[in-house]
Amino acid sequence: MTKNKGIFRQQIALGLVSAAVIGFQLALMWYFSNTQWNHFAFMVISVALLGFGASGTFITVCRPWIMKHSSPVIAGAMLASAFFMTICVSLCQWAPFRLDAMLLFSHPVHVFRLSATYLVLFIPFFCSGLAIGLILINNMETIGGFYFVNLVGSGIGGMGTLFFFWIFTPSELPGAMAILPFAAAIVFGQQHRVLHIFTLVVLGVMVFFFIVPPALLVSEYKGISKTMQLPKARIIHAQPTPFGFIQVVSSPVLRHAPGVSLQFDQKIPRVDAVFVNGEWLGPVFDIQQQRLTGGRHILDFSPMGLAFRIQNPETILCLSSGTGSLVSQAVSHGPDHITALEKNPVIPQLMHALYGAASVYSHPKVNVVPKDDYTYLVSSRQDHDLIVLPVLDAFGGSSGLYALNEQYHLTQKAFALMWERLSDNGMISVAAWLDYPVRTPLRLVATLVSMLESNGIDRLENHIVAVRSWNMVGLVVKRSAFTSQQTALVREFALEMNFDPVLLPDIGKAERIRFNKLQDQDFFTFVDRLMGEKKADFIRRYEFNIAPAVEDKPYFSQFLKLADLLHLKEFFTTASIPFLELGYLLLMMTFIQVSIFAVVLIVLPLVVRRWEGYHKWWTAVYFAALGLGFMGIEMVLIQRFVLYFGNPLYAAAAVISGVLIFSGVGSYLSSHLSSTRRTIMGCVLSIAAGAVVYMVVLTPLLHQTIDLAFPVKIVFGLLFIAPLSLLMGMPFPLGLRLARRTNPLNISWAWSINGCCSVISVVLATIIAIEFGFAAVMAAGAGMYGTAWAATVLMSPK
Amino acid sequence: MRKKTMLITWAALLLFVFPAQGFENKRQEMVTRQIAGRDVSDKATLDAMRMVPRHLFVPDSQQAYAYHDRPLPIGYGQTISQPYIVGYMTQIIGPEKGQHVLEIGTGSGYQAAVLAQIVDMVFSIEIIAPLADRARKNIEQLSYDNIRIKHGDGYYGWEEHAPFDAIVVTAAAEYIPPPLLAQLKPGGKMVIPVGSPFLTQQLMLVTKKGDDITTRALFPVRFVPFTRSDEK
Repeated sequence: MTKNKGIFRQQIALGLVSAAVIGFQLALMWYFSNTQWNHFAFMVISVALLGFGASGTFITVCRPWIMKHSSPVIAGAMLASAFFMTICVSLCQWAPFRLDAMLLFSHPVHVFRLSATYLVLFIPFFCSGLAIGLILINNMETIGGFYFVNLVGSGIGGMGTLFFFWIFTPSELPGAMAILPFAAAIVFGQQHRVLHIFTLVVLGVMVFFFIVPPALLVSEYKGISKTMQLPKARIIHAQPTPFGFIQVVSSPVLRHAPGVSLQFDQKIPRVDAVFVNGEWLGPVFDIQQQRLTGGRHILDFSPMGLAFRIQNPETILCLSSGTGSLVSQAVSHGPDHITALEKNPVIPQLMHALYGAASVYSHPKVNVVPKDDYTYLVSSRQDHDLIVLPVLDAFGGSSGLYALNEQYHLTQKAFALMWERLSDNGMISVAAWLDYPVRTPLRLVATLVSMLESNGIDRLENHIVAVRSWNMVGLVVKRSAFTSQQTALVREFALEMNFDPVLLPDIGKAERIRFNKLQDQDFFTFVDRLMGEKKADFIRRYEFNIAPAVEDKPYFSQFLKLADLLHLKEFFTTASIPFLELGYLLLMMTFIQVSIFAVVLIVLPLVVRRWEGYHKWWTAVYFAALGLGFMGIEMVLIQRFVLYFGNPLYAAAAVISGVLIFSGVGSYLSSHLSSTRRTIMGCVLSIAAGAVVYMVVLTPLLHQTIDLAFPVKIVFGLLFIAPLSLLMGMPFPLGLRLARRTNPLNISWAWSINGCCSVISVVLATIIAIEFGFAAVMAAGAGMYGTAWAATVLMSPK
Repeated sequence: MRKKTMLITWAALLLFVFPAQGFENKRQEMVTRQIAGRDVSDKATLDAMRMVPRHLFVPDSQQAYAYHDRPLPIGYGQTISQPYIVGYMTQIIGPEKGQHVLEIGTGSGYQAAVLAQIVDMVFSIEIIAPLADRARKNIEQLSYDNIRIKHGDGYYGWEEHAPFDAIVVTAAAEYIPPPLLAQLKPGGKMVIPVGSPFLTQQLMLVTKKGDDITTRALFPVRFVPFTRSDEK
């Protein structure tokens, strides 16, 4: 029996499997982000994670047999987990299973392939969940200590995997994670002969895949695949990093000239291109690029050249500078100083390493700051003559693929901070691709207008100008009013480039469509309405969500209004809608799928076994509430600390690991408490109250301390996370101990409920954040702990 | 024995004649409902689209959808445009006998085949070698002798055959290469799509008049051309 095994060995094995689950999850996320897209990765992994909940259901349904053979089952589950982790990428890439997210809505075969992918990924999570669940159930007397190991193992797994992101490619990393459950099986030990043979088989498979790792087969619709189709295209550098899989591609026919004027009659120079996770990051412009295009930078021939035509800035701030294309344009105008912000520190280093003195990041006047735009804007006190943003949205439309990306640098608050960081005659320059139906430029205008109005600007038309090419809109906002000489320069620039002014004092109707005619006047009508008094009414009535993004809902690229979905379907077929706003629809699909599967997994034991005993309702509500509440609060903490640390990766790693480790400590401490209703009620109520307090004080407190040095911020952040996390680690083991006293079957069922609801929680929290904001997510998290309290209050005393 | 022969004949008919007949019917219906049923009225364009067997330009796995009202994948991350877009792009350049048209992005060769039904010569450039080969094969099978396909970089156009009466760019591009504009005849027209390849796209018409180059968006801003929601 497992109980007789050394507690230490069981705990080591438990810690290893727990670390493997988190590591495997991160590795899969990375793999699918590379081969498909982020949101698709989110959907696939959410469904697969239900394997964890399913293990609880399985234990509940097969309890008598499984408890009798728990020791070989645990070891077998660990080995099976290692086996399937090793082969999962190869299985997903096997031709009959290989799916493409872009074809999911138009080709039924990909629905089958999606189901096959779910199954392939479900199995390792199920096996790991089975091993963890059985170890916990077998050690209910000391559950606090074992749950501590489970949580700490998960925390270390999350942090440790970041290290492996430097070593393995996206197709290798999921398989590499198999070493952890395999090691767990060895540590756990088992005398069964069949398991010895299985151990050798798994070892053989692992060695084989280590020697011959699976190749990375990327969707043919991703940017990197399309670029690699170009003649003589080759990858000149590939580097796995925790910030993404970076690839630099070279081809003699690769050129970049976004929205360049039709009057541009020179040769468009070739460039190398950088991709992160298979998606276009940017071109690599030579520092002397302007020499190739007649002394003027190629971007000066696009709407992005407008700001430089109006006045020559001395100090420039480039946001999200990426590969440095806008920095290169800035350098060509000879300013005194350029600050380039790039939150991925590897990119500037890589540019410098690959291109040396030809890289813009090597220029003596360029100061690279490895920080997130928003964090820099909050903490910096330096003024700039020009603040430049990268072009919004992707060329050709992003099909809503960035809908769930948190883009703090495009929120109302970020633009307000930019305004504050402008010198007296400073300007903000931003451009957007024209999308159809028009969304991005309208939200941009709405955001800029809101920024101007909140700064007391009455005559908007004196502070904002815009020009339009055949496929791009460029806008410039100026702190002081544009002079008549400057507006004349805008007109001159538009005339020279065959662009049309969109926003300009005293603009005429015909002037707006001199070179680039539109089929109707709607675009101008919309822009004028956003500049007028009835903007709120227009924004409310527009078919897409174009209201300015705010810090609490930083989703600039989320345009879909659920209420207008049916209306949109009248204009587009069902098959077309996903390509309009794919990201949010995938999220909704994920929620529906996960909810259906979760309900089945939770209800199944009740139908199959119909066991006797008390507190079924309490078990269901209490553990569901914990699953939903825990992840919701954790997500908000991550979101807040993303801004604080200025780097999503560090924030997520620090917060996830911090929450898990402190929760583990809380769990350990809970073993010294009696598992009475009163203790539990006090605990969950404290968490609910704590979440409300955090909701109120967290943001102001973090803003106050954002200037501190990074190591100090880490310490401060962890100290801040500690109290609530400690408390959050207690209700689960306390609840399990209480459940054990009434009916042992409730324990595995509780494991299932908690696992399923944790998965739902992540998806649901994202939907709530998009629709209602992060404060609402925190409130919902507090509400869930309140629900757990109410369920315990109403629990029958038997 | 006679019964057996009859049975084989029927089977052959079912296998070979009826599918072809089925595609023919679907093609006529496609033109009537999806193209003429909207705002493509140019007789030459409609006739051309009635003639060209679209199903022979898509991969075998996509043949069943060849006449559906949507773009289809043809491999290498590329698509064959929605039939309506092909019709609209053809009509908008005002194709006539005697014209020379340049196409950038041969893809499957379908757009070139439609154009070749009307104009004198179609010169088409495809940057992806396997697609160029496949399109060439498609064109040869259908015995078109007024289409030239070249594997190469469309950026430079096709200098030897310039100037062109019209240029059709079949894939969205973030810029229009200056050499293409230079190879367009004065008064010539260029049509280019804008937007995601899987979504019904906005189209731009580029016209060269003297030194000025003007563009015109061909569909309303609010919503691009509507696809039928009653597609079966």
